[in-house]
Amino acid sequence: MVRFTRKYLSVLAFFSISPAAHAQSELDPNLIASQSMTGNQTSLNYLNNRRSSILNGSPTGTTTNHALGIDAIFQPVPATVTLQELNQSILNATNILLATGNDVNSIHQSMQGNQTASNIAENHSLDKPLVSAQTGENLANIVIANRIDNVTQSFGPGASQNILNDLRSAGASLDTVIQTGRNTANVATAELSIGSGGQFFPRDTSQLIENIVELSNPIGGAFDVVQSGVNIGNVLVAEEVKDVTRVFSGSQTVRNIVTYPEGNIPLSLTQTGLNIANFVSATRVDGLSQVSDGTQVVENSGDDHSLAGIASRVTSHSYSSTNVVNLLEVNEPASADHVVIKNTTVSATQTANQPQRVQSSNGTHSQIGNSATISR
Amino acid sequence: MTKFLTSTALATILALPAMAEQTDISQTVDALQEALNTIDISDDATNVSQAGINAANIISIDFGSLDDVDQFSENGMIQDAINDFETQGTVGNNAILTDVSQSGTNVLNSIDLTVDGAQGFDLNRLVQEIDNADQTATNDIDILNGSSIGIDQGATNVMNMAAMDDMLEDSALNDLQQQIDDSSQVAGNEFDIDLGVDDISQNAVNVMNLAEVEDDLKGDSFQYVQDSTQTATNEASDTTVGASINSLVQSAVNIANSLDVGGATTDGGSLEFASIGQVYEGVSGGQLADNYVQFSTGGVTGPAVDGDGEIIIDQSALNAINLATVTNVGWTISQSAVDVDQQSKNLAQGIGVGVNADLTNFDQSATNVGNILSAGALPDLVSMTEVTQTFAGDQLAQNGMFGADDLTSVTQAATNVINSVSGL
Repeated sequence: MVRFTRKYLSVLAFFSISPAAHAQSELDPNLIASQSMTGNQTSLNYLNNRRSSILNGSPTGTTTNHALGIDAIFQPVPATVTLQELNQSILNATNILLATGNDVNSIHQSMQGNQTASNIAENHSLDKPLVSAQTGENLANIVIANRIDNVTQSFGPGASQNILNDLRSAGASLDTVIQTGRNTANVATAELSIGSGGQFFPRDTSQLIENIVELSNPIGGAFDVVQSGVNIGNVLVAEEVKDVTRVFSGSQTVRNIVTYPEGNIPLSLTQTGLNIANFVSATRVDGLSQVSDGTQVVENSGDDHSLAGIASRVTSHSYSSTNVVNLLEVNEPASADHVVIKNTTVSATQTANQPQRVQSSNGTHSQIGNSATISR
Repeated sequence: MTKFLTSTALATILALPAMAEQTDISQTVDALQEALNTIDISDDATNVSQAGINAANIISIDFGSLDDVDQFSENGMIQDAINDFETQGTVGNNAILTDVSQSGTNVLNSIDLTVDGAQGFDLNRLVQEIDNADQTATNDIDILNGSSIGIDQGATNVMNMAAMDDMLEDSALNDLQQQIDDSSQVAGNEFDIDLGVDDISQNAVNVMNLAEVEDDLKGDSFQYVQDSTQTATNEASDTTVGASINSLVQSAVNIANSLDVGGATTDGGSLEFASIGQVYEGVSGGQLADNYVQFSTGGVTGPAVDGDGEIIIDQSALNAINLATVTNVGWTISQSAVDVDQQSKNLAQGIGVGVNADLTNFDQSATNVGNILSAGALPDLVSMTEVTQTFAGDQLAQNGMFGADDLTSVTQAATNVINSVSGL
């Protein structure tokens, strides 16, 4: 988990808030900064490759394609056939302080708006299979520094992050479909220490990811689907974390949905949902208070088909869902110099009173609440 | 910008006399400026260029420093730069356009003390104020029964631009002040695809309050845009069924409040605001960047890479509010944007029936940004908030492709960024 999160965060840092985000700047150790946002960030990528839809108002998607021949569509796609390639990506980012390698005295970040990322593609082409990648990313309240003496991050009240990746395909074949959604709110990561502060994800705030693949025609070629959704709220990563209060009362939802008619089933299907709230990774923890009474939901489904049915028909399938709240990981000190650290008391209070739900009855499912892992 | 500065230099009508250092200049203009070019023909055209330029309150000096400079336009200034080109062929004798360019440029309040390849000259104080001014730069090419090779359209509006080496004064007032109120900018390009086109470029740019200090900014700076609108649009349409489009590039850009300081800023001592202040108070429709292409059964084939191997974005729409890039921030900086309405949109719409209405190497990028600080260093001020960023409003980034057949290397990217602080 830690490795994953760290990797993800480094990806996040690299993910181009600024082209030079990785460069070292000389921020003052007494830097005090305040960032606030209200309003809406809305991003939409829309594609509809239904030709002729303008002139005669009726789709020609069912017209026999003489170049390929309707019979050929039933056959596995020859490797020589050129693929269609579509890439849709969205980034909404607000309240970002990137001070890698530098110290921050105090950072206050408040986000009370809505971030919406929608990638929608309607594929009607009969000629060539479609390879598509849809990626939606929302970031709110992110600070990355060497040392953070005080941090206050409020996602809400009334804030939301929404991602929709929707691929609809009618009478046309698909190849590989990848849908990725990531919502991230309230992340403080420091090389050394996080001194004090709070992270707030109140009751009326939400993170929602929906990855949807809809096939409406039973005629089609083989295709692969990979759907993944990650919601992250209230994350602290540092060598030392001290006197931080975190509240997660909102909701995190990941829905991965594939619908397809009988006769046109995916060759392989991978659905992954991950919700993380109130996550700490540190070597020393003192005075940490975490309360979680929100909701975490992961739903993986293939419409009208039981998971057992999918398992018997889909050549390769994989489901996983993970809900994590109040995860405290105290890591082993890196060197022998840290013997003294080993003897310090880990002081943390964790309260969890919230439903965690996964829809699937198959695959790998994890529900974690109030977990403290201490490596010494 | 180089291209723009060249245009500005062209527009410097009079050679300025040699003047003593520490000269003060005050300029005030309230006028109607119209630059109109029209061509109406009925057949081919080759190597045709139309340029309409309006410039008012322009200072361009490369031989000495200045003291205090005031540039005012506060009473209904209007600048229109409009280029119009029409041709029509017949079914049997198509009109062929080859290397046709149109450029429309409006500049109101500009000072440039920089020197290419050398150190520029300094300024003590600068005040640029615009109220109730309207700029329109449009280019239009109408074609009937024709096709085109090599079309370049550029529409540019600039209000309040300043470039110098140092800003020297450190008074109790704002020492670099740029203000715009109740004003509008419209930059638009229109082109008829008709039977088809190969190599078309459309650029629409609006800029309000742009300051580039090559070295140090000693005093306070304050950039303010209020109740003003910027509209940048590119349209390539009226496409005949069967037409093909090769190498299309559309770029629509709106910028409000941009400051670039290559050296250090200091405590300017202004009692009004932060040492560096950028304030945007918007209205509905405040920034609209819009690109539209209508394609047909010939499809669209974009340029894959440019000479440097960089991917060329076929349609890019960008809105930006409150940009600051400062190598060494010496005092407080505040960026505020409220009532923001930023819309960046790209649309590719197909017409006709055919299996070749393919999109190949076609990219759309829609971006909105507000309150962006890139700093090499931030100051050490005890118990003071050095950086404040406030944003309220809406950003919409939207890409659409409709009616295509096959897609090859097609990318849609939508990006919104609010309140970002990062290193240089």
